[in-house]
Amino acid sequence: ATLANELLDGKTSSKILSFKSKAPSAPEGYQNNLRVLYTNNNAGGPRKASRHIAQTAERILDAPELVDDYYLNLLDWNSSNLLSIALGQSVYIWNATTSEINHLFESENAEAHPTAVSWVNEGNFLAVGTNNAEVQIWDVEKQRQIRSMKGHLARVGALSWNNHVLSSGSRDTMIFNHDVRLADHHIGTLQGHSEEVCGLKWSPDGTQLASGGNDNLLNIWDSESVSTGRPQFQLTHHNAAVKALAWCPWQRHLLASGGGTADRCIRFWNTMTGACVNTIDTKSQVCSIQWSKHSKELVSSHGFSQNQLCVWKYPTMTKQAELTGHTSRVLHLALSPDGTTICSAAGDETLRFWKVFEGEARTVGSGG
Amino acid sequence: MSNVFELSDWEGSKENIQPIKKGRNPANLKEAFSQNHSLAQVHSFDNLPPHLKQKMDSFENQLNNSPSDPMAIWVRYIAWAQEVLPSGGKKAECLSLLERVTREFKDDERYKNDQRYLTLWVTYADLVADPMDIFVFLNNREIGHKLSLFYEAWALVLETKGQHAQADKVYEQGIRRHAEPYERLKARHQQFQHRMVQRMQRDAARRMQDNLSQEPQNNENSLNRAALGKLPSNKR
Amino acid sequence: AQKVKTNITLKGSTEIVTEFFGYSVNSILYQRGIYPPEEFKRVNKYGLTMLVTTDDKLNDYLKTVLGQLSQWLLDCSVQKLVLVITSLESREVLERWCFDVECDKTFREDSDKVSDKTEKEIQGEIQAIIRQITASVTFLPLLNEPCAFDLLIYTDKDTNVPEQWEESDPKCIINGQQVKLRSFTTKIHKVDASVSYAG
Repeated sequence: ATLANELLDGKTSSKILSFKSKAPSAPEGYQNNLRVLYTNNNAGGPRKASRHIAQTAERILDAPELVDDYYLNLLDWNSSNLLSIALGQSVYIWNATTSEINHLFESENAEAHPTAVSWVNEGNFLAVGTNNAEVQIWDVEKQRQIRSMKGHLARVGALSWNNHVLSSGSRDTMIFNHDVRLADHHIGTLQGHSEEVCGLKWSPDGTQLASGGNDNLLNIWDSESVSTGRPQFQLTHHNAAVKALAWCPWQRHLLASGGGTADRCIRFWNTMTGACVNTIDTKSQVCSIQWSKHSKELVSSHGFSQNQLCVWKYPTMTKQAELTGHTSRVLHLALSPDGTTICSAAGDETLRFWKVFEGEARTVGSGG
Repeated sequence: MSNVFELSDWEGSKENIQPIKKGRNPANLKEAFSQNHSLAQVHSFDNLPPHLKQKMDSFENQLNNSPSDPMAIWVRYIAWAQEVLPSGGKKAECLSLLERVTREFKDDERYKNDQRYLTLWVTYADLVADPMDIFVFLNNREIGHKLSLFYEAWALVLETKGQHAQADKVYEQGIRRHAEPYERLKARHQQFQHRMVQRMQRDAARRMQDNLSQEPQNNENSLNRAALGKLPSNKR
Repeated sequence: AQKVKTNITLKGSTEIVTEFFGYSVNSILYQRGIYPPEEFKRVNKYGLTMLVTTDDKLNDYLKTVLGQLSQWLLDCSVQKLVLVITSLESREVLERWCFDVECDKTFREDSDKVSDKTEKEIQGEIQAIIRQITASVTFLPLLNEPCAFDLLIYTDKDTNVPEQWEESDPKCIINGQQVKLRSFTTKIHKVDASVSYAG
C-alpha cells in the first residue's frame, strides 16, 4: 500500500522536488569502513608486545545454558577466590582454590532466572538480580537467601556494591540504592537513563557511581547527585549501549567505558572533570573491561565480530595480545583476587581462564 | 509486502543482534524479540522451537530429494539460517552449513562460475579468522574464475592484511581473465589504486612528521608469538 | 509536573524542524558510511554527541537545500523530506529514509499562536529518533559499493518550482522492507520517520 500511495500521491497531490546541483560524492577510492562489522577476518595481530602473554586459555570450564544476552552481568569473582556464575535458572559458586562446585540455587521458574550477580566487597554475600525484577542477597556460606528486595518493574541486569549500599540497575531505566542493613532498604533512586541500565560500577573509593545504558549514555553520579537525582556528568560520546565499565584501581577518577555494536570504542574519562582523555576504536562490540591491579594494562572482551579478548597497554593503548578461542561473543570478564588471571564467559557456553597479568611484584605507584 | 514494522520492537535488544551483510528481515526480528524473555531466545540449531525446527527439516528434506538445482535451496537455507539466530548462536552455527555446501559442490562443473555458489564461499570466508587458504583453494580449482566477485573479495582480504602488491595482482588477474561484470571489476581496481596512492601519501606525510616510526610494519603475519601448550581440561 | 511555557510559534517550529533535518541527514550519512568518518566532527546537540560533516561542499549543499525547505515549512507546504541512497555503479536505489511532515495550518493564520509543548519534551523525542538512526545497523544491509545520496522534498501541488530545482520521480524501492522509526512533534509540525531498503 505504501508504494502505491507514494506513486499515486506523488503524482496527484504533491510535487517532488530536488535541487539540481547534487551533493558531492565521497572521495575517489573511498570504501565503507563498516565492513569490519560483518567479517571475522583477522586484520593483523598486535604490532609489538613488551612481554610474553600466553595466547591460549589455561583452563576451560563448561557453562551450559549461559544466557547469551549482552545486557546481563552473570559473572563475578570475590576476594576469597570464589567465582559466581549464573547459568540458565541457576547460580553456581566455583571455588577457584579447590575447584569445588556448589549449586547455590535454581529459580522456581524460567521467568525468575538470574540476570546479574555481584559479590559484596568483603565477605561471602552475593547479590543476585532476577528477570522478574527482584534483588536478592544470598549468604553463600550458609547457602540461603537472606533478603529479597522488590521495587523494580523489570529485570535487574546490573548490580554494584559500595560497602553496605547495593545499587541495582534495571530494564525499567531506574537505578535504586539499597541500604541492606535497613528494613526499609530503598534509600535512593537515580533517574538518568531512558532505556535499560546494563552497566553499573562504584569507584574503588566509593565516591562515584558510573552507570551505562541502552540509551547510549554514560552517567557519573556523586553523593550530591544522589540527593538531586541528576547525574554529575552525562556523557554522550558512545553511539551504542554502554555495558562495559571499569574503574582504574591505581589511578583515582580514571574510568574506562566500552560501547556496543554501532560504537565499538573504549573511552577513558577523568571523572573529576567529565573530560574524555583517551579513545580507541576496537572495531568490534565491547562487552566487558577489566583493569590490571598491578600493571598499567587492561583487558577488553568483544562480540561481533571477532569474539576475542584484547590486552592493552595504558595509556598508549598499544595492543599487547589478542586472545582467541571463544566461538561466540565474550560477554563477561572477572579478575582473580591475586590479579593474575582473567576469567571470561561467552555465548559459546564456556568459561575460560587466561593468565594475563603479572603478580604483585611489579606494583605501579598510584597516580602514575 | 507492505507490512510496516517498528524499530522500537527490537531496539531494547539492539546489542543482541549481529549485523549481517544483506540486512535482516524486520518480521524475523520482531518475532525473535517480541517476548521480553531472554531465556526463550533461540541459541543453537539443537534447541530450535518446533515451528523453526520444522522449517529446518523442510530444507533438509528438499535437499535429500535430489532437486534439479540444489543451489537454489541452499541459498534460501543459508539466508534463513543467518536470520534465525539474531545473536549469531553458540558456535557461529551457520559456519557448519556453509562448510557443508561449499565442500559438497566443489567438483560440480555446473556451479563453477555460479554467482550464488561463489557468494556462499565468500560468506564462508567472512566468518573465518584467516580466509587466505580459501581463496587459494578456489583459485586452484578455478571456482569463480569468470566472476568479478571472486577477485574483489580476495583482493579486499589482501588489502585488509596490508598485502597491497598481492591485492593489485589479484585485480589484474581478474581483468586478464575478463571476469564479469567486467566494468565493475575495473572500477573496483581503480578505486583500490586510488586508495593506494592516498595511503602512500599519508604514510609519507606521517614519516615526515614523526621522522620515521621505530615500529616495524609487520602486518603480514598476524600472530607470531608462540603459544603455551594447550591445557584444555573440560571440568564441570 | 510543572508547565513550562515556551512560546513556540510557526517560525520557531520551522527552525526546530529544519535543524532536526540537518542533524538527522548528517547522522545518516555518517552512520551508513556514505562519506569517510574522518570527514565528520563531533558537536554537542540535543544532549547527544552528534557527528556533522566538515566537508565544505557538502555543507553548502545541505545549507541550500535546508534553507529552501525551511521556507516551505514556514508556508506549511512540505509533505515529506526523503533521503535517497543510490548505488553509483548500478543507479539502483538501495535505501530510502522518509520523514513525513504534517503541519497544523491554523498556526499559519495566526502568527502569534503558540504551541504548549516544551523544548525539553521535543528534545527528548528527537534524541530517541537520532538513537534509532544509529540502531539501524541491526537490520540495514552493508552498503558495499560507492553510493550517492539525494534529498527529495515533497511539497503541495501548487508550490512554485524555484529556478535551481526540478521535479523528480519518487525513487521508491520496489518490494523492499520498511521499518518505522519514532516520531516527534512540536504540536505545529509532526515528523514521522521511516526507512525502506532493498532486501
